[in-house]
Amino acid sequence: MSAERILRELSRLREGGQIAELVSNGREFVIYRGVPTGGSRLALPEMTDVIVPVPAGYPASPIDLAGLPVGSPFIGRTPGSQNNQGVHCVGGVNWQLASYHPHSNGGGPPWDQMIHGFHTYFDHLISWLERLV
Amino acid sequence: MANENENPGLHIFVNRRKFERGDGVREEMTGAQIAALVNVPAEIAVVRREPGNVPIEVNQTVHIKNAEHFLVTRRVVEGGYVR
Repeated sequence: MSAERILRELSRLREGGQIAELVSNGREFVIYRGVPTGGSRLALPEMTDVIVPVPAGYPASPIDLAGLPVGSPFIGRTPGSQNNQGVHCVGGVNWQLASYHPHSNGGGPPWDQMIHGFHTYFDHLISWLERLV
Repeated sequence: MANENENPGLHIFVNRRKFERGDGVREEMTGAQIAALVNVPAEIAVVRREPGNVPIEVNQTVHIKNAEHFLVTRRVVEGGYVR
């Protein structure tokens, strides 16, 4: 894992007002704060925090999955969230990962480590949180 | 020759990332051009102007204000099942 690269990617989002942090509980994750959702039309929150694990071997390995706080009203409504991919306690919060794989048949392009990163993964998170059922 | 009314520092934020003239930002842009900045094909793009989530059609041309924000999402989002 290249922490320097990830921090550089997250600084690109910070320039546009998006807070995202690299955190660890022995395994590294990125937590995106206040990600916009399509929840207002369903009387759900307009923002939520989202966690994404840093894959082993990043950036050669693609970023994958997305998680929400356990008990989030978006679990069961975002694509793949019915399929629990594990719960992780990070920063005092229990996060449930969903089966969302934007770079492998989830709707996004194939992974290209020269282009993609945690800054572009934000694109996939807002699409994920917009397409609620 | 550059138009003297052009702002050389014109930039916008799409999905929280900054894009400038060198990336293709212009005073007038279509929704498709805004979506292209974050590599979302026009046929699956949903473009909104913040604040207020004002929708912009992909074939609609809008006047760009410096430093304004847009969100681009895609219509195709698939969840996985058993891996």
